[in-house]
Amino acid sequence: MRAAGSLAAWMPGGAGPPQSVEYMRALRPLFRRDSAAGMSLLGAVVRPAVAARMAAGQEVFDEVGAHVTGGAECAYADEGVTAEARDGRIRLYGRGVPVLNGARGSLLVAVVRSAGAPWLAVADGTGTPRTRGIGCDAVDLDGVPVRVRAPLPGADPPYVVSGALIAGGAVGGVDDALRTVLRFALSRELYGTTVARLPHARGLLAGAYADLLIADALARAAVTADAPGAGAATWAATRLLTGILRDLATLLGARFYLREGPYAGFGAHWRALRALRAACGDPRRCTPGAIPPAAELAALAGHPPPLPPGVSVVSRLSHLDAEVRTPLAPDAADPLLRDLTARLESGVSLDLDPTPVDTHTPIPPDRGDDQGDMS
Amino acid sequence: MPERYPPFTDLERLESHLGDPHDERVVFSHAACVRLDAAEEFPGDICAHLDRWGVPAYYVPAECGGALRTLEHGLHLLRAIARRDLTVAIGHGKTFLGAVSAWFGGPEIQELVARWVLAGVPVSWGLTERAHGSDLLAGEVTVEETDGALRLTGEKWLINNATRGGVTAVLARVHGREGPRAFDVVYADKAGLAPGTFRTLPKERTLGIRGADISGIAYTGAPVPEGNRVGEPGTGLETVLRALQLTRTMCAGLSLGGGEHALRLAMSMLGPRAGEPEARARLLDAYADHLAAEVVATVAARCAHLAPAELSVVSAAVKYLVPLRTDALIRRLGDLLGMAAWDGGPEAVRFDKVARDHRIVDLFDGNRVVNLYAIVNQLPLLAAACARPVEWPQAAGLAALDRPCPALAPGRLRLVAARGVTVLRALPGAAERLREMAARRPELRPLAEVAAEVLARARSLCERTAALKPAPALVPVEHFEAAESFAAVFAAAAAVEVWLATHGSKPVAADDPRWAGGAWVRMVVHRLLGTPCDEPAREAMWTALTAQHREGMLLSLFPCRLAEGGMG
Repeated sequence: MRAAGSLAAWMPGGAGPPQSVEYMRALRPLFRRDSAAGMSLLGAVVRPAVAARMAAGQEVFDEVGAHVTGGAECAYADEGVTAEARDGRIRLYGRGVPVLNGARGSLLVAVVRSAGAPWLAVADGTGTPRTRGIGCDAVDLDGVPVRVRAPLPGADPPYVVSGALIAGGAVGGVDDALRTVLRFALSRELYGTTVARLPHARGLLAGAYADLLIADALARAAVTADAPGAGAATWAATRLLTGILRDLATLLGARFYLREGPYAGFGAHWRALRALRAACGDPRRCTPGAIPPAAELAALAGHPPPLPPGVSVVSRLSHLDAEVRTPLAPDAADPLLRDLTARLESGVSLDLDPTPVDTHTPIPPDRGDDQGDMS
Repeated sequence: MPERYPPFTDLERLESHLGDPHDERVVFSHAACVRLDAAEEFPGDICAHLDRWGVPAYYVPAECGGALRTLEHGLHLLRAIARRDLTVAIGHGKTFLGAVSAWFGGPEIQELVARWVLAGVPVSWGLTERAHGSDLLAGEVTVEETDGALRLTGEKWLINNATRGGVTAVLARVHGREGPRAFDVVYADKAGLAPGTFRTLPKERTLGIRGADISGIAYTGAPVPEGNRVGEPGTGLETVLRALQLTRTMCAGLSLGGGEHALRLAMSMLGPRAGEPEARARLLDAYADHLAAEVVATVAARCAHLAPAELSVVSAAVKYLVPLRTDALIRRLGDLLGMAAWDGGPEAVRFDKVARDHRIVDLFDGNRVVNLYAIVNQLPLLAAACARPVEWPQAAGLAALDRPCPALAPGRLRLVAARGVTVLRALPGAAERLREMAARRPELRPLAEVAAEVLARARSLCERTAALKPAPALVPVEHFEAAESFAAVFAAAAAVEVWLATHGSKPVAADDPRWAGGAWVRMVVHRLLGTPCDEPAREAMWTALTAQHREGMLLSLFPCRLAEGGMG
């Protein structure tokens, strides 16, 4: 990924946001193969790089940029870090959480919120005590000296922009999950037929496909839009993506729960992307006022994907947090399923920009207790 | 002090035995459960600790020599175990599921299975097969009668306790036969099987309940005594379908425990932030969802005794609704916690664990789609029953949670609810009764309005259901939608009727603000059906939630002391 220059947009000399759609798309093959690896980029590279670019300080930008483009990783602490001046230096204190990718990052990039407007601190991250977390680590800071620092603009844009990029990349992981479950549904016999012929299952599969297209449209809008539109679009995209995984888990039945076997890849995506809602789509940070109604969210999607009669972007965005989503009726489901199956057979991605994919994606090995480990 | 709601007497005794789960020195502590999960190790010591108290006796009906007076008692006892750890509840409670088929058989098999269970032998339930999942009719494991013995051949897979269990209740196809009357349930005792006639399959590594023994067992002409068959030959599938009515109801206990665990954790992790408007609203939603689950599960458990002919559809509604809504409850609490749910602190680790663990409850005994299908099959009967209301007092026993239930009579369970469900048929009378009460007591007007709205929704559902054509083999989506609505309306009606039949009774604390004007019903129905909910109801609920959490009481409609609240 880095060799391909995908990070260049966010690093010194890069064009920044105009290239972000390309960067988001470039993340998708990685997510398709291993969502945990994709999520690890959030803390290791994307969030610190975005924050450094947005911070008003060339030194911060240069240091983080040199670190990341040199192939090293950061540890990014978003909350819990305070600073005080002692012994003639600004020093960091507190328990920094979450330290996404804290296990390996040798450069500590921390948002300091102790007083006034937030600012970004860069410090040596080696040797600080780490607490192993579920998807991230915590770091205990007791006077770590700040190397360089710079004020951050208000309204939390690093969270939203980096969250939008990663949510857009995660479309790739959900694409692979949908591909896996569709193959299962086409081959699995139940009650004298295949799962893919059961109307309820067809409605869920087609709805998942529609939602994936809408999530892609929202993510593309999010990485180019200004706040608060970007935040709302990201929030909605993360809800759609995790909702798809819930519906697909229902279709996969007990196999969804297994960490080994032919469908373990689905579970690996599910585990890795569980943190997506909090890490990229926290409503307090994406939509700090109120969550916009479905029509406004649909408008954010910009160029809506082609959907058949009987299903609309607004309808799919109307019950994002419902316990259960209603399967699509046959008149809406059938055309979507035809298209979905054709894409599966022709080996192209399931997003808005069909591109060839490796149809024999290796299943990521079980990582024991990784649970979507971001490191 | 109010009298204890009867099942909570046993629950408090068990709590006293188990001790404060926050204390790392006790056997069944949160710390021990987290440690075992990380090591993917079965909680054997904890299960032995439950055995010492006598939990296995609660898996055997009192009529068969056990301590299970009613399913209601069993439900709440399982909930108490599950609120500490779902792996333990599932690993230990599986014996209830394994044993339950026997209660549909004759005295000999009842006595045999009761003896095993009371001796602490784990019993597993071999229903599903690798190639067929929930499609039990397609099962390929066979039982053949040769040389005076039954011989089992074939593989059961994804079986809880298949390896650890001493005995497995196996659903097997009678060799060479087809159709629904081609199956037997046979109890296979490993101790009695000849060497080489069975082998257990490797443990499957799972998303949650990582210490549980989820594996399988393969038989090769394994000889089983003729007396280990349940009922008449060919009745196995019917036995299983009836047994599932009891086990699906009990599964709600797992969700009640899991939901409580998550909600208590969220309250603790949020600390002072819990009172902020957004957090308070989310926590209240979760609390109302939890109480809705408590009410509908309890009514279903009583239904097993008081209206057993209705349990086929009631248990399906509960098994559909409760795990689904509890998963959503946990997910929303996770949203509320944000990245704090991932920071690796002890409470975050537990929150992650309960979220992973609970995901399996939906998969037990038929997932949500299977249970909706069970309702869909009965929609015509349910619609027809709308025209046959029953008088309110006649139906009140089901919802009067202070009243005892008669003994369980498994033989009275039916495969379809031919006369509909009492809770819905009694709703017009209950709503009318509330209207009359509200005319005299203005504080009950909001509750009466809610009851009227539930009745309106029920009538609308009846009309919609009556207009549906009988479902073909490939069930259309609109039938599933009707089944989902049925489950929600049923739960809302149960809430209204429980208030009407139980308020003012001995287990209800006189000063409980939730009961006075039916605040909890107003909020529960709001969550189930989207009806408006007023601020006084929310305030009453918040007072109760914070007090129960602070004082170490069970998150429940009734007072019940937990070990962390002090048992003296």
